[in-house]
Parts: sequence; C-alpha cells; structure tokens
Amino acid sequence: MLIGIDLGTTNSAVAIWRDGEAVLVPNALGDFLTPSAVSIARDGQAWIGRPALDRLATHPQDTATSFKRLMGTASTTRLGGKDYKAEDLSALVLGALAADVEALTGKRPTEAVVTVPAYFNDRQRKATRRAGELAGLTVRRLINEPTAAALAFGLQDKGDREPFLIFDLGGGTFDVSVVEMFDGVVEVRASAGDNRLGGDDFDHALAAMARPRVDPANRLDALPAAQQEALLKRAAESCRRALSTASEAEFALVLDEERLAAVITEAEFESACEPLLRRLREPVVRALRDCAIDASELSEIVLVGGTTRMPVVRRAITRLFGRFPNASVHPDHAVALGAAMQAALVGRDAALDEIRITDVCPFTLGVEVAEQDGHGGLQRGLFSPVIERNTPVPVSRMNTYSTLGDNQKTLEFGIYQGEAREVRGNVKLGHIAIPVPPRPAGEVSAQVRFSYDSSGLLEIDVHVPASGVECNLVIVDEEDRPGRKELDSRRAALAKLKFHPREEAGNVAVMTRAERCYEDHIGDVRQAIGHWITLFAGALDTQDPRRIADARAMLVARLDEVESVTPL
Amino acid sequence: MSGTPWSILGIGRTANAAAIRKAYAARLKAMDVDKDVEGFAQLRQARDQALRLARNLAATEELAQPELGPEEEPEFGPSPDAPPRWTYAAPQLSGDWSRADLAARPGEPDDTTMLGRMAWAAAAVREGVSGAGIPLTTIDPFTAPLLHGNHAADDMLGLRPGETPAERLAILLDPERETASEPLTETEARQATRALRKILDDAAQAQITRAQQIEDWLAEVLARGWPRSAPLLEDANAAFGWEREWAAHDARPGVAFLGARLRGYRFQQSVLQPGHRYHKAWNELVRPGRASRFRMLRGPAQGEVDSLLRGVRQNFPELETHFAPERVASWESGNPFASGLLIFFGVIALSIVIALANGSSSRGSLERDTRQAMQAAVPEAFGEGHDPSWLWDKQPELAGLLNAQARTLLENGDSEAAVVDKVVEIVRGRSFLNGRELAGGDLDTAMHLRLAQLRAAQSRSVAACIDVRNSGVLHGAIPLPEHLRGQERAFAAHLAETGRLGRPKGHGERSAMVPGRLIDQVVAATRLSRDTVKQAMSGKRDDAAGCAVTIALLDRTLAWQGENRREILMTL
Repeated sequence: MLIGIDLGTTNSAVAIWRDGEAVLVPNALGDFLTPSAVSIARDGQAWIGRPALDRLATHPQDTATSFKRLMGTASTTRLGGKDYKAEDLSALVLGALAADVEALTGKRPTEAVVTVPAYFNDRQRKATRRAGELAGLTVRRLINEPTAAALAFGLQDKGDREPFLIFDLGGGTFDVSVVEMFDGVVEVRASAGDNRLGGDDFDHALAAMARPRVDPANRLDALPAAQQEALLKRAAESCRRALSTASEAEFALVLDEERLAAVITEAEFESACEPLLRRLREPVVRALRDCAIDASELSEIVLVGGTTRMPVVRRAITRLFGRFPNASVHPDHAVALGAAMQAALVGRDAALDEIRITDVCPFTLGVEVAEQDGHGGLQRGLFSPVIERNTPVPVSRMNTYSTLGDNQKTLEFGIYQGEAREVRGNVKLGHIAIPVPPRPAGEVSAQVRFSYDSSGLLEIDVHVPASGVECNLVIVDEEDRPGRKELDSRRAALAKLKFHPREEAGNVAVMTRAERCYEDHIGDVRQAIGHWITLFAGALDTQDPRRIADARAMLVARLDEVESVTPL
Repeated sequence: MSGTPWSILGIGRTANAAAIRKAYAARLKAMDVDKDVEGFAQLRQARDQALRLARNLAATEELAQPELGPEEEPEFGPSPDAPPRWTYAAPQLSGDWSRADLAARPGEPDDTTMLGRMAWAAAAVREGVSGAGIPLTTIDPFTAPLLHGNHAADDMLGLRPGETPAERLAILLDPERETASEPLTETEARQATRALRKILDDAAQAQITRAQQIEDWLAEVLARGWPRSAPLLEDANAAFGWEREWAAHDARPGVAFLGARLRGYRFQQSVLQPGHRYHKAWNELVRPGRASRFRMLRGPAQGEVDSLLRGVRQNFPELETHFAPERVASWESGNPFASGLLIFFGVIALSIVIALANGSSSRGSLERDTRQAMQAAVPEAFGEGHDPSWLWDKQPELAGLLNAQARTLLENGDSEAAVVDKVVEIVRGRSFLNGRELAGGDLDTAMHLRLAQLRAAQSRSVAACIDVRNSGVLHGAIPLPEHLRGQERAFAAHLAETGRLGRPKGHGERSAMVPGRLIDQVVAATRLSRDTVKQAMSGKRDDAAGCAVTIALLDRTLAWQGENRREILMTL
C-alpha cells in the first residue's frame, strides 16, 4: 500500500487512498497534523510532534524545528549530545507517520509518495529520498507540493478547469504553480518559488520588531542562543496567530520569572512584514511570464499552506491579483491528500485510471562553457542552458559544443542547475569529461544530451562524432556515494533512540504541555501548575490505568483553563 | 512520429480548442511518457502549435475559404496572442494620477487656479514625507528632495495642469529633446526623482498586470533616456529588484542593458573615491594630452593602467569615453623613454649583425619570393592544374590584386602560408559575392558553399559565425573539410574561366519577404520562438540565435521551391 506524505517545515501529515478517495490518517493524539519537531534527551529518549514542540519551551537546546530548511546541506543539529543531519530528523518524523498508518490499517507501509517544494533543487530532493529510506520507506515518487494541492483542488469535482494558480505559502517555503486541467489531464504549465520565504520568516520579522520593545535592556542576550531563539519564536508565533483574529495582540515571553510583554497592532505587524510581502510578487511574475499567461486569464487563485490564513497575506494576495483568492481547499490538508492521490496513481488504482499528471522542470539545467569575447580574450565560467526551466517533463534535449584550443585533449563539462549567467551562481550537480581527438580549435564538437525523467533523475550522454566515443553520467548526489553501509549505520543509530509506546502518547503529550505552561507563566499560577505536575507524575507512578486517566483529564481541564485566560 | 500537428493529434484541422485538448488528452493517456520521451515532446509541441493555428483560424475565419494545404498559414504578421514585450505608450494610470481625482479630494481648492496648483504641490510634499519608504540610494546630492521647511512655494514636482508624473518623467528623459545630451539639471533631477517615486509607489501597490506594465514601461523609458537617467537607476532597481535579474542567463534585454549601465555608473562613482585601487590610474587616464615621458617616476604603474583599461573594456565599455584618447594610446604603446634606453644598445648591436647578413637583400629577392608564393597559392585557391599564368590570362585584374597583396605581406615579413591563406580568402570572398548575383545553378552552388562556411564558422564559435554572416568572408584560419574545399576550388575556377570573378559590384540594402511556410520550417529547425526567429531575420540578432536562424533559413531556402527563393538567397 502506497501512502502519501506531506513533509512540511512546520507541520507534516499523512494520507492514504481508501475506497476511491484520499483520507487523512490521525496521529496518536488524534490530530491530522503532526508538527515537524524532534526533541532528544541525553539518555536517548525521543519526542516527536507536538510533545517535541512543547519541549522547545523547556529544553530548547535539545529540540529542533524547521529542519526542512537544512535539507540538502551538510549542517548538523546537536540534540542530546549527538549530531543529527536534517534528513535524520525528517526520517524520525516520517517514521512516526508510518507508525500512525500502521495503527489505523494494521499494516506497516513500505512505500510512499513524499512531497517536496516545487523549487527544491536536486540535492534537497535526494535528501528527502534518503530520509524516507532511513525511515524504512521506499520513496516511489517525489511530487511537487503545489502539484499535489492542484490534484486535491482539481479532482474535487473532476471537471475541466481553465488555468489556475496555486499559491502555496507554508512554514518555510513559497511555491507558485500555474496548473491547467482538462479531460483528466493535470498539466502544470509553470512553477516558481522562493525556498527562504514562509511563516517562519514572518515570525522573525515580528520578533525583530517586537524585541527592542519587549526587552529594551537586552536581558535576552544573557541566555544561550538556542534558548533566545526558542523564546522569541514561540512568542512571535502565538502573537501572529492572535493577530489573525484580533486587531492587536500581545507579544509576551517569560524571562527569569518575569513576564515581559508588549502590545503589537496589526498595522505595525503589516509594516514589519512589508519586505516579505513584496517578495511574494517575484515568483508569481516569473511563473506567469514563463507560461505566457496573463494574471487576468487565471480562473482561480488557490491558497495552500497555513501561512495563507494570515489576513496580512490575504490582503497582499488580493492586492496582487485584484480579486479575492479561493480558499475552498483546506490549506493544511490539501498537499497530503494530493500526495495520496498521486500514490494511488503510481499504484495504478482503477478509480484514477483516467487521470494523467504532467509536471515541469522548475530549474534550468545546463553546462559550463567558455566563450571568446570581442577582445580576443576567453571568458570562462559561463552557463549554457540545455534544458530551460518550466519545460514539460520528461524531457530530452541536446546541444553541441566544440573545442576552444588546438589539439585539446578532453572536453570537460560541469553540470549546473540554476538561472544565473555565470556558473558560480548556480548549483553544481556533477562533472563529466570526454577525451577528444587532437584537432585544430573548433573542429571537434561534442553532442551533449540531457535527459530528465518524471522522477527527477538527470542523465547526461556525451557523444563525439569525430571519434565515436560516448560517455554517460547519471547524476547521483555525493551523499549517496558512501552507499548502503553508511545508510544502514545511520538507520541503526536512529533505531537506538527510545520512543514512547503508542498507548503512552496521550500522557506524554499532556506532561510536556504542562511543563511548557509552567515555563510560560509566573507567580502563583506557575506554582499551581508545578503542583499539578507533581500530582500527575504521582498518578503515573501508580501504573493504575484508571487513576492515570482521571488524573490526566483533571490536568487537561486545568491547563485549558489557564491557557484560555489571555492576560492583556 | 512526425508530420503536421493535426496528424500527430489525429484530428482534422479545426478551430475548436476543446477538441484539440481532448485529442491531446487521449493520445497522452495512450502513451507511456517515460518510455517515449521524444514522442511526448512532439505531442506537446503539436498541441501547442495546433492551439495557435486554431486561434489564428478563429481570428481570420479562414474555414470558409477553399481547402488549403496542411501547413498553410496566413502571411507573416504580428501574432495576435503574443503579449508585447515593451509597451511604448505610457500605461493608463488612474487614481492618484488623474487631476480629476485630486480635485475630488475634500477641502482642496479648484485645481485650475494658481492657488490650487500651489496647494496640490504642498500635498505632494506632505505625501512625500509619509509615502512608502523607498530608500534614497542615489549618490548625486542634487536629487535629495527637500522634505522640510516651507518650500511649498517652490513647485517641487513641476507638473503642469493635467500632466501626470509618468508624462513628466517621459518628457524629462526624452531622447529627442534638445538637452538630451546633457545631464539633468538640479531642478530637473529633483522633479524626475519625485516623479519616479510616485510611479514606484503606485507599482508597489498595484495589481500584478499593471505593476508589470509599469515596470516594462519604466525600463523602456530609463533605457532610452540613458545617460540622462543615470541618477534614477538606483531607485528603480531597488524597487523592482532588477539586480537579481541581471545575473540571470535569460534577463530581459532592457533590464540587462540598464544593469550594465548601472554597474558602470557605480564603478565610476566608486573609482572617483581616493581610496579606490584604480583611483590614480583613472585620474591619469582622464587627463587630456599625451602621457608624460617621465611617468615612471610618479603616477600609476603600467600594470595598474593596463588592468584598469582591460577591466573597463571588458565590463563597462561605455566608460572608456571618459578617457582621453591620446593618453590611452600613449600608455598602450608603452613608455618610449624607458624602453628606449633598454633597447638602445641592443639595437645598435643587432643592426650591425643584420646589415652584414642581409647585405645582399634587394628588390630582386622579393620578386622571387612573391612569384613563389603565387605558384603555391593559385592551385590552392583554384585547384590543381591552375597556375598564375592561367589566372593572368583569364582574370588579369584579380591576378594583379593578388600579386600586390602577396608582395605586401612578404615585405612585412609574413610567411608564405599566410599569403596562401590570404589568397584563398580573397578568392572565396569574390566567388561568393559574384556568385550571389548570378542565377540558376551557379547561385545554388555559391549559396551551398556559403552554408557550409557558415556551419564551419558556427562550430568554431558564435562570434565567428556572425562575422562571416556580416562580412561575407570566411577567414583562412577556420578550416573546412576537404571535399568542400574541392567544391570551392572548382567553383572559383569555373567563375574565373568565364571571366566572372571580377571586382564585385556594390549594392544597397537588400530585403525580401519570407513566406510563412518557410518561417515555420525555420522555427521547427531551430526550435526557437517565433519572435526570436523574426527578430533574427530582420537582422536584429547578433548572437547564437541569429547565427542559427541564418543557417536554418539558408538551408531551408535552398530546399525551397516556392516564391521569393532568389530574393531571399540574395540577402543571405
């Protein structure tokens, strides 16, 4: 059984195809969304999801969030005394989601379709695949998030649709896709995006603006960086959420048993976000230009991603397009549901037999060349595109290149992905060299063929007609080269972590929530919470399920009461 | 699969877009795209082409006319669906721009009176203070608007009644203006900046299509108004983020142009700062007059000046106009004083040796060498069995020219191989230029050879190809395959035999109408966009596209049997 997973920056979700429709799978706490957060203690105990997010308040140095931003890079996060790469942490989240499916259906899934932002480059995609493998899931297909959302939106009523635009603003990435549907064909016309624009950036902007007001004496600097960041991030997130429904909200954090707070109005927030809102424009312009469709021809602007709930963002979008966007799909669920639909397609489910999806290649792919300039000099490091961006995929294109010097021995091609004119601004994917017969400059040419298939695998074939020599390269990430052994050892390391049994999930979540509340409050309320925590811990020790259940219900009720009162 | 778009889709010619899409969907579902990548590409292309044809059909209602051939299309004309890249007219700006709206503001006096104009100018000042904060990045101090104080009396924006900021900006930067070759005056610069700010504010708040129109229009106006528009570029760049686009391989030409100019402008501003690496070199080069002979003693080093010149020529060519030409020339030719000292003794010693060795050098030996070179060159150019005496007989004028060229080259110390190359070059050029004026088989041969030459040049580099296209001459340094050389020789000999290798007659600018079908073939052969192809055919492209289009057009025209064939060939 193939499952569809939305691996998001802030939240992740998993869905399966059942009885001719896509359904979301709830996690152990009964939620459809599992926060993409991991917390690991020194002794190897791991928390994943909402409990981990709560532990951001109590153990910020051992908790990681938004690690999707680090996918495809070599940077590591130190949790509980050990270093983890972003793909390891993503693997833990994927593993938790697979366990949720097992709990629902009784079978552990082995294959999955995982979503990635349309604008993820080759390295980031390969890292996502590896995360799946580390979690014991074969990633049969990677699907672009806006395409998945388009599937969920478009297949609602299976009718024909004029081109519509998917506006996917999630926790960490922004993607725009122009999609057309007709006769069961879902055709992506163009994709564009910004990998560094999401809800997290709005949080940063808010925190940057509010910090001098909340902490004029800069007392936060005394704390370690992880803690500072965690405090500011959580304050910003709750403030931002409150601003979605009110015209002003409090930005508050607790430092050294003291509560520091400032009131932020919506207007102030909007002006702080202005540079971010302006950045929303560029990918939209690029996508529309690349498919030569005017904004007025779009039938709908479909909002996807939790950040599109913000009124500031909605206003900006309305201003951008001159009309109200379409919020009919659930912004947090659409991508996972679409992934499940793609999973069903890959698994050749009969219900979706008449559906075909064609996507595009979001980046330009090409080689490094040198050219003779007008002054008789040689300009090196130029980018020669072979496959232009937003070409329908699968695609195979060929260009011819020739030698520049007399009796040149080899032709070397650096393979790059990106839009810059000089290769140093692009991402290097690989390198291929082919020997050429010695001839005067320009007499020997090589035909370079790029083949990019539906799953995003790039293959390069180089052929020299003069000598008949052929060379082939399949782009494999350097990370993949260590191979099976390294992957197995990493998987073993992850398996060594201690996970809470599923039955305990509810108790674990309540405990972490209580501890977070303890951190968030001061004075009498804090004391009271501390007391309740002790009571609950005592109940847990008795191992009596009835008593535990009662104690839990009481704690939950009390926490609800404490959190519902918003001091202003 | 190949063929017409209709045959690939499996439907008859139709203007119904839905039917085309349905056919595409059916075909797509029947294939496995991963296994048949080429087929998928063709299917997609066929669908796009069919949709385009359908749009044209619907527009011109040709369905009523008698059945045309499968690839027929209305004559070459502007395609109705392509959005214009540049909007030459100012967009219809509304809202804040139109005077009517301002007059409607409560409390404002009637705008036809002098009072009204002043009050509105005051409003402009007030708004400037609280308007969207676009950072002031221009270095020119005169464009800093005076936001404080009572300067309301001074008409800041200088708008005449009924004029919009866009119009004002366009007038100030109009290249047709008398003052177009001078930089903006203080007042003009202030007005221009304020007008630009208002336009940028509008664009930041506007809907996407209008924002795009404004951006395109601004890029056009600023580009045409260069260099007067120099102080405004930073603001526009900051607002639209053009800087990110310059570095892209597919930057829009207008933006790329402005980017290059802005970079040059920034470099110029920074090099004028005393701490800059090339500051001394710059100051030296802009001073008029020749460089002093004693410049080694003080002033910039030769190396510094060299690298400044190289950098400017490569990256900011237009900045070279700031340099005094004689000074640049004198720096480039090196310092005679210093080198003179070094070479002085060497020359004395060497000249004695040379005089002894070449004692017997006389005009006679030069004649002998020339004769020898011609003996080698003529068969190389015309084929075995031809020698100078034959050439003197058939084409005396050409023989005389070649002889003189050979002698000059040898006199200057060039080798015999260089002479041979030169002769081949001249003969080749003549064969082409004369052959093009002929008719029938001779014209075809000439153009086939030309095609081969262009292809050879293209495989060398794009610049070489453009060079051949524009100058009509393929330099000897670019080798051609042997069988082609044989054809060239035979053709040249054939022309010489019939005395048609004379001095080519000049002719004026030539043009020809290219039929739509032919354009289609070129578009299919080069896989470029239709617009690019048309631009290249109008001679506007001097890059890889222009080269590819010329070759494809020549190739297709040679295979073409329809009208205008000869006219088209004569322009290529």
